[in-house]
Amino acid sequence: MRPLTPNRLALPAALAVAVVLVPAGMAAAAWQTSGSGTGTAQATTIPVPAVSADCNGVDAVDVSWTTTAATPLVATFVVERSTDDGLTWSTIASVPATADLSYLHSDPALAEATYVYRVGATTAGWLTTSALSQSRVVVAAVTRGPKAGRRPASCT
Amino acid sequence: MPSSAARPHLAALAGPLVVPSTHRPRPRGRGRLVLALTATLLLAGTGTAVAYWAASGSGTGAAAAGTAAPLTTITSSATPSTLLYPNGPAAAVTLTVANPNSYAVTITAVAANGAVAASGGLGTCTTTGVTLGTPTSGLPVTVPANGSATVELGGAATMTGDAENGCQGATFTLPVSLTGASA
Repeated sequence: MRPLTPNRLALPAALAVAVVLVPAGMAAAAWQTSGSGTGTAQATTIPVPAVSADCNGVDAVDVSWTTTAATPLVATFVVERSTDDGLTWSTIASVPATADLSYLHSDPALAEATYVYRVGATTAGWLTTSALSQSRVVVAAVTRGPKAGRRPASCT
Repeated sequence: MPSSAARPHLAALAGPLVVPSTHRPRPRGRGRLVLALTATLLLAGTGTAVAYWAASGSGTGAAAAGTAAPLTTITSSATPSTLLYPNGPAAAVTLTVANPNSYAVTITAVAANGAVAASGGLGTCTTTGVTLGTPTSGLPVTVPANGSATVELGGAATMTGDAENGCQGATFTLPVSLTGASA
C-alpha cells in the first residue's frame, strides 16, 4: 500500500477549505444600501349622524340619531337645540358613544317655542355635526280647559 | 503521402495523444491544488456577482458590481388598509420603493425622515399630529432588480389628539429613510 503523500492530500484539503470559506463569505458580506422617499397614510372622517326629532307627550321631544361608526372612532355625541331655526344653538346633552349605532335622548319640559335639533359626533379635537332635524317641534301654551298649562306638542 | 521520416515529428506535435499512457505527464500535486483553487474561485465568483459582495478581494465576482445606487420611492395609488384618527390605534403606511440596482434588495428598516404634510382634508390641517413609528408588519420586503415593490407597513403611523378638525379625510405624506441590503 502506498502511503499518502502531501500532494495526494492537497486536493481534498483545498476543496474542504473552499466549501467552508465560500458560504461564510457570502453570508457576511451583502451589499448595504439605503435611500429616501415618502410614504402615505390617510385619515378617516367621522360619519355624520342622521337625526330625527319626534313629539313625545305634552311637552317633550325625543331626539334620536343613528351613526355608521360609534366607539372607538366616536367618543361622544353632543345634542344641540335651537329655537331660532338653527341660527344659534344650545347644548342640551352629551351622550357617550357605545358600540350601539342607534341612540335616543328625551328633551323634557319644554317651554312654548318651536324647536329644531342637531347632533354632533366628536373624538378628541374632531367634530362632525349632523344636518338639522327634519321635524320642527312646536310646544304651545294652553290658555283654557281642564289640562291648563300646555297643550300637546305638535310636530311640523 | 507523408514520408516516414516526417511521422516522428508529427507525433511529437500531437503530444499526449500519441504518447503511451505509461509516459503521459500527469498534473502533479501542486498543479492539482492550483486547479482546484482556481475552479473554486471561479465558481464562488459567479455566485458573488449575482448578489453578494466578494469580501475575499479576488476580484473575480465583485469587480462588476460597482457601488450601490440609492433606493427611492415613487408615487403610487396604493391606499392604506387602516386609517388614522385622533388617539386611535396605529394605522398603515404604504410606499412604493424603486430599486435602480441590477440586483434585488431587501429592505429591512423604514424610519421617519422629516415633517409630515397633509393634503385633501376637510379643512386646515397644519397640525397633523401624525408620526411615523416602527412598523409591526410589512418588513422585510424584497424589491426586484431594476424594479419596484409596493409595501404596506402595518401599524406604522399614529395620530395624536392634536390633529386639527380639518385633518379629517386628509392624505399624509411621510418622508422616510430606507435601509436595505442585497437580497
